Amino acid sequence: MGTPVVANIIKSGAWLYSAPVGEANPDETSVIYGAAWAGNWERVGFTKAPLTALYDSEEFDVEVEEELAPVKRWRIKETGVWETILAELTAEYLQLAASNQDTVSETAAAGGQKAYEETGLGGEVVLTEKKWGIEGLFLNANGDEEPIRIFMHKGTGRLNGPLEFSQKTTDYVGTNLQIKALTDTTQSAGQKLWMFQRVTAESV
Amino acid sequence: MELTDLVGSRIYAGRDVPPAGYKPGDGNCITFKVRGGGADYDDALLNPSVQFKCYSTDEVGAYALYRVLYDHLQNAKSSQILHAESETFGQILEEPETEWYFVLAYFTIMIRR
Repeated sequence: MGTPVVANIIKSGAWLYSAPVGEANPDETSVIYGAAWAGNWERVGFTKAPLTALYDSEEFDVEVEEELAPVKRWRIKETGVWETILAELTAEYLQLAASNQDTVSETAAAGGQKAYEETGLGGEVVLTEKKWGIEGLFLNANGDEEPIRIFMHKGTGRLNGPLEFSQKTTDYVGTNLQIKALTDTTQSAGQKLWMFQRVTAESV
Repeated sequence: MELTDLVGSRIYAGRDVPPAGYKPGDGNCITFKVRGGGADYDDALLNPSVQFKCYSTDEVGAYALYRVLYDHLQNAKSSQILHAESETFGQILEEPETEWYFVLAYFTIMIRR
């Protein structure tokens, strides 16, 4: 904080990534902006709506008879929710949004057999926990393209709206994806939901 | 009926009016051009609004040509076109300078990049 810096103003879209829980974050130096994240990270495809990342908390106000305003305030609950709408409708993305309830079976084309994919929804109690990541662009004062990344240590997907099939609109079918964070008890207090990272300059 | 049965090769892209030298007596023709629209959120799709003008020697011929165009474009799909839809039904008009009859119509076409 202090002197205003125009370069700190961000205008960027973002890519969404997912990986198994515990996957290492992409290296801030070797994995440049726009490059595929290494390891088990998988980029989620096209989206048709902005990617939003909301952190929210509930607070408890300690009030005493002698004062009009609270004398102390504690955080008593917190949530982290990311949302977007996937533009590609496939069995894999449907499962990603629905927390991977079922496997995706794929049958290849053959003589007298069309290729198809199939998956199910419903009846699965367990939500598949994944690690999630966002990458956007930070253009620093030197004009270097650097990544802005947010990591959700652990979260579950939710199909957050209907699949809308319509011939008479100028829109197309989207898969509403909501990702809700779980606390990662292995992290320090203050870091249990997300980590925000902005690469500010090239190495020297 | 195929459009080419009515216009032959006289389909002119990126034009508001037929090219110089054309006269309705040469046969029906269609001009079309993008008048607006934009890219989808992720730049994966384009959604142009396209103006079509169907020219003929008289109002009846122009509207007959438009009806064939409508039949081919409304809800059209291909490997590149996800969806095409009429914005408004065509209107019979007359070019003020040449007094040629034409039907003016607009379609929104969702195209894969």
